[in-house]
Amino acid sequence: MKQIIAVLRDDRAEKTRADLEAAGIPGIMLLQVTGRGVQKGDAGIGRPAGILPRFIRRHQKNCTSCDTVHGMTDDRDGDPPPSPDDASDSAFLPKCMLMLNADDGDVDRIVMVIVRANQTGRHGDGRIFICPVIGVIRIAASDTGGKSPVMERKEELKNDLSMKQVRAIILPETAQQV
Amino acid sequence: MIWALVWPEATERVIRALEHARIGGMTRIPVTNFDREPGISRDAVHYREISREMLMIAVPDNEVARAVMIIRAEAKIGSRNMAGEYLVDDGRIFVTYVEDSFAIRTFGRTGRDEKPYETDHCSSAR
Repeated sequence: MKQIIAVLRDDRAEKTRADLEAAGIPGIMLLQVTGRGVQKGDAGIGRPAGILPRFIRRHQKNCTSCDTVHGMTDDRDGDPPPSPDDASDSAFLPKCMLMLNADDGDVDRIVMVIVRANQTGRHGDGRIFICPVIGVIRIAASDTGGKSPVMERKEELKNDLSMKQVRAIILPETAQQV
Repeated sequence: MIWALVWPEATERVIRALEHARIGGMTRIPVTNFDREPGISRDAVHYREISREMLMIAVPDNEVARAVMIIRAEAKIGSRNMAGEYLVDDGRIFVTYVEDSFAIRTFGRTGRDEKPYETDHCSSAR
């Protein structure tokens, strides 16, 4: 079981979702985040104007915590230009974070779908991280799916998974200590 | 991969410090935290759920310790009451494995990766 975390352009999120659904992967989680790559969030590189300021205004309206962070506002629409105090290097751009858990065999396919939907060749396309997952437990345990160690042994445990049993399955070496 | 749960007030300071140390790109996620901490009382209202920011930073193995030290130093806001007890946590730092990481822009074009970090890219488990 792997967790795939992809940070994508926010305007490509809908396309990615549709492509993943067409590829038979409907279960994803999308978060609206802000992010910055190693090029320090330079929006001038290969990014169409108009998408960014609208989102940032919306984000600033909703987000009370990070109003000083985005160094960019849309001058054309009458917003004040950034003050010198805000002129930090850390211009965080609106991004979309996609998280999904997948079986090991599906990872390559999912990565290819995400890359095909998001690759423009310009800076800011995003990154994909693949992380190991040690256990998955469906809260609605009536349906099976996901080849985690817990789910493989679900039949023999007959839906009576106490936390002790779960711990014994996913972390067998530490179960004796608990 | 470092997941740092910090105060929104401290986020900017952490980011600037990491930038100064040339530690790579990051993603920030606004979250709401509910911990064992007592929470914040303001007038008659008691807040248990506290707005935080999660910073997701992918760093190579040999820079994890440095990044964690920077975050620990900068994320402390030390909110105490009159008796000097800590009212709320300053946050948490989680370090997780990343098996593989690549930029979408260069995927399949220049071989594996453009390797934007100075050492080999953020693979930890291999």
